[in-house]
Amino acid sequence: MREIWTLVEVSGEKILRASQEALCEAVRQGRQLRVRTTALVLGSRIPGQILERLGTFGPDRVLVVDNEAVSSFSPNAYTDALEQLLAAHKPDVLLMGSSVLSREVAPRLACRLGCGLVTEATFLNPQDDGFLVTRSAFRPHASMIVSFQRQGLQIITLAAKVMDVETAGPFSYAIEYVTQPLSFTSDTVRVEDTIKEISAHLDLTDAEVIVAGGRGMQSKDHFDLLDELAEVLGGAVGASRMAVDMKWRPKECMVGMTGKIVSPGLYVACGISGAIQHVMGMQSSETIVAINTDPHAPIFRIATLGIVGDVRDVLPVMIESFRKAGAEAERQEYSA
Amino acid sequence: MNETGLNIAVLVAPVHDCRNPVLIDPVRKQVDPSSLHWILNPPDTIALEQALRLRDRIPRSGVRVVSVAPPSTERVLRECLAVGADELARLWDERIEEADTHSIAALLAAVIRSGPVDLVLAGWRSADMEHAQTGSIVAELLGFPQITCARSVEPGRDPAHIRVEKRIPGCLLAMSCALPALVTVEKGPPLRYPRYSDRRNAWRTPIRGLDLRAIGLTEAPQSRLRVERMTPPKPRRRSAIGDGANMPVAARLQRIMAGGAQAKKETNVHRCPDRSSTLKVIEHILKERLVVLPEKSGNGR
Repeated sequence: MREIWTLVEVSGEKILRASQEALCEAVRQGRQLRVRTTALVLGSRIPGQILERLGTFGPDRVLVVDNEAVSSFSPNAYTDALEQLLAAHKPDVLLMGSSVLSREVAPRLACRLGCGLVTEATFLNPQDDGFLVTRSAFRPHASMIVSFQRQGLQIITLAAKVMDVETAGPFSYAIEYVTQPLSFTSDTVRVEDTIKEISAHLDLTDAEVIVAGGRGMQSKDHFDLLDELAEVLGGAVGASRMAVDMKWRPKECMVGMTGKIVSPGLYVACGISGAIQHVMGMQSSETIVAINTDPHAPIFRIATLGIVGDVRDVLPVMIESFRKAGAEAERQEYSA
Repeated sequence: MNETGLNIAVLVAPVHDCRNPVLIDPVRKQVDPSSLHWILNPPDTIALEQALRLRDRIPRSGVRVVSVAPPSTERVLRECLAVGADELARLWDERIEEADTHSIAALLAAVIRSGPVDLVLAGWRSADMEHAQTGSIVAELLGFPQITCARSVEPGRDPAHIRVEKRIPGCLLAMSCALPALVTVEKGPPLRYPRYSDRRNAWRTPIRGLDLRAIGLTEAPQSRLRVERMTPPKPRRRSAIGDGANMPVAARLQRIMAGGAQAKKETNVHRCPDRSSTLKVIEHILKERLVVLPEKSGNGR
């Protein structure tokens, strides 16, 4: 292996979280295997501070494609540009984060270049000529290990939130602009209209974090606490049947057999005893944090973490601490 | 677009219903096929419903279901006929047993090419393997424009276009695309429920299975990936951060034995409802990166 590339997606002045994870993994592997790592950014007039920030992740080179065609959401243009770049530079591995764009671009690219693609990888095991990739299958019942059968480029997209993001530095890196002329095929896919900005009110089934309340919340007013916590964590608010029956929450929020069946990364059950009808709707959540006054509540049987206590005492502390942690993370980002 | 309405092909895959466990052969390190519980891939059923709705709205249209699936899954595929698909083309050959996503897509594309087609619909990914590749590769192989992860598919402003809604973070896009095209579907109304008589008729309809020869191939497309082995997942991690978390293993074992299973279950329940225990939980959540605190927008440097 000589070179690992990472596709980095930038929106506005932010680097996509998934791309950061992919880049950090590439740098880690690159250091270990002593191969060159390249961060590839496509866009038009990308701000200089973004390129500088990419440097703090530690790639040997930041490669920039400055082109109007790839300035907005256009999988077709991305595919065309990447196809030509990869054919010209011939890196051994292309890593991508999991995103709306990479989901479409990666298979198209693999198809055009005649190379293998593994999506949603959770672990990369370096071999002589590439990676042996672990990914989940029949989730959550198995995982599989996949090898590439062809020489040449391997394209891998990484599952979200499995790789650590770390910045250290200062590193030495070079910023290069691609001078190679790129041609784009015409595409009949048009964006006619951007219908609406979806507000912070997330769909329950899509949310990665759900904060749910039940009878233990005691009154409608205390749901404000949940709203606040959900906002801090970037999640959605759910409710048990009890809370819906008491009209504390609309029916759309109900989690459980007759409501929505959800499977977020983190489920915070506040004042929910854990009746089986509710548990059916959320038991596949990755981590379940339960807060309840009754230490014998059935919710504690499935909870990963439990706090025996009153939600009215616990929630303000949680909100405050997460807020503090969030502010700290932001501060670190500034100094980075 | 021709005068006979819209010819819609829907890619449907039978998948394992992941609400049921799978058995993994500990010697061969592969999934035991007898443990698989087949259902129609849920995103594919949503695509099929969209196809049926389009057919209802555009006269003289037809829906053809295309699947690469072993004969043992014919039972679940019949559901497509029961809900009203006009034709079912099922391809299988012993030589494609170990095919990867790309070879499956190549076979699907070959079957689609064998008939007239204006629009190809598919689920955005399979519910068991979650590769999310097949639709995009089929579009590339057919040379069709594609829109992935659609929320709705509707007739366009003229018969040569379709209108598709798709969600990207932050907004919903209304897109249009010239036909022929391929659209993968993420969400939408659920598949209609068939009438009993339709279901009974579907049972009687003979299904002609295709093999490689029928689509003009002599051997299976070459796979680009190989599954080396399957493993059961690691057991669900239960982190103990309550009292006794840092206890030596022997002591903890002793305590569990003394308290029975109940004590074991409650190792991770924190019994002191004060500030410090909450902080511990929060610390744990942050350390394990269970949440990614959202970046505040609009604070560019």
